[in-house]
Amino acid sequence: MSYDTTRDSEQLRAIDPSIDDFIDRYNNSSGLADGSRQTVFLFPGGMASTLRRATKPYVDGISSPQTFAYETVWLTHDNIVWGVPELRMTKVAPGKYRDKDDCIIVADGEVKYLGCTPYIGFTIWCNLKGLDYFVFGWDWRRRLEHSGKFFVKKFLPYFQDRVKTGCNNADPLASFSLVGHSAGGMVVNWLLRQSPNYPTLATMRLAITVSTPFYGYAGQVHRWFEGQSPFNGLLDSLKQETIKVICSCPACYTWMFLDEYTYNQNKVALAADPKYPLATYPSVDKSTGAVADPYNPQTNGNRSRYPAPSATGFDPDELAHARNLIRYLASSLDPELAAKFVNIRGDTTANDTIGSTTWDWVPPTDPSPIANGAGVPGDGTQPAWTARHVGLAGAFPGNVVTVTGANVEHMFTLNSPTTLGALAVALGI
Amino acid sequence: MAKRTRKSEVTVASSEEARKFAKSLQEAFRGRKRSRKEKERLREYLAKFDAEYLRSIARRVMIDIVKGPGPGRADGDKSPPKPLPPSPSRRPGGKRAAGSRRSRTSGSRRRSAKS
Repeated sequence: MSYDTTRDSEQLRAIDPSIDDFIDRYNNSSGLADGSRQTVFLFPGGMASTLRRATKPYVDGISSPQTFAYETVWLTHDNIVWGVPELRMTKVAPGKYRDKDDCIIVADGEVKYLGCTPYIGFTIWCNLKGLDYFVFGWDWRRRLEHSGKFFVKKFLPYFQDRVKTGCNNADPLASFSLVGHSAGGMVVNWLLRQSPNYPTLATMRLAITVSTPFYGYAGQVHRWFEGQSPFNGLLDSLKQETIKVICSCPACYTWMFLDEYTYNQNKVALAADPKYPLATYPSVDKSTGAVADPYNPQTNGNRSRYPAPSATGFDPDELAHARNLIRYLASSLDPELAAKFVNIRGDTTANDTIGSTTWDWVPPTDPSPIANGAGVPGDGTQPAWTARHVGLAGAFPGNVVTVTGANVEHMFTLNSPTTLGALAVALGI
Repeated sequence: MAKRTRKSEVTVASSEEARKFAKSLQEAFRGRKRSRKEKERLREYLAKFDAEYLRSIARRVMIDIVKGPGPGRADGDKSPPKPLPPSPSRRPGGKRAAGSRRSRTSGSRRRSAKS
């Protein structure tokens, strides 16, 4: 079995206990108040799925299946002390990656950090409502379409078979919806757009995003230069290593502010949002105020926008791939698909969400060339203007829902009764 | 005293508090290479803290890492840090500090610190 096939097989094996739990819950639930059943798959946000790493490397050239023992490498306090070197990916061909030292990494549900999870409120709420939920952990480092393909091609058929066997032939896909939090909503967006190609998705009722960026956010562009605290080590001793890990993860390239092309395509609609307008392009040059498109970085003499690939592993090819992907995810939706799409966005009313950045040329990369602009309305992480698809707002205004209040803060919004209330309305329960 | 924000009836440490906690952890394990033994020592070290305090730190860490780094980051709490609760006085591997939190907290609270 190849590396990729083995990883998929191991990923399914890692999910098995969660499917067992689903079967137990299903058999002990009477469903919704009216007796009907609805399955909801939750895609956690970026960095919000637990990642576990094989304790031994995959060995090439062995025809028999390989299985491994695993240990958690994300998110634990180990990361604060020793950083995140295990998360580094190795590009072996265009679009093909392996994990560090060929030790396979699999996702294993939502993060559980010191007994704390961003989704405990959601799962309790599902139980109370009689929703049949499944938290689909995904490897947020990989190209998000890889996670989407794995979900629809490998996971769903496997899940359906196992649940039918365990639940007296009940079909958990008879009526189901996808809910994606933050970057998880980008996967859901991709799945919705791909659904006409996959019969398994034919019975999908709704694709719901919660606090998902459609036009990027300010946080990622910092990471190319600053790493990510608190994983940079004491006195930033691990910062360069952390930057290399970040540069090796394809998904990170899709998290920056929108490209100029997408902005120009949507700027009228973005500016026309009555409560949360985006008046100007959000990423500009520090000195001139000219557009600094993260996906079309340009050069200025011998200076550029990104850290040197030779020093950090920053991958211009992956940047180009990400540009195409974010354009796809922001592009117009077929009306039939748009009718299934719901975007829930948050506004804490604190007006302290970073809504723009300025960008200086590099080198030097230290200090960081990125500076944040003013705070704008949002959920503390995602500006409100990015967290809904502007085309959906035009075609199905009722499918764009804004939740407000201090308890809709980005990371824990799915523990918020306000957000869960909006979800209940969307799901019709 | 630092403001502590309430979110859905749970406590969230301030960003400054979380930074101090991380630094104290990194200092306590400075120069120690990752190994099974050291990871076990880290677990023992953390078990000496109050479980709810650790959860409040965990919540803040999760909130802040998703926001991303950067000066001027709106972290929602810029008040001065609250002093850390009593922490182990010895470097890991040493004898447990007398009267440490571990000796005073219940087993169920300690368990949650061993994720």
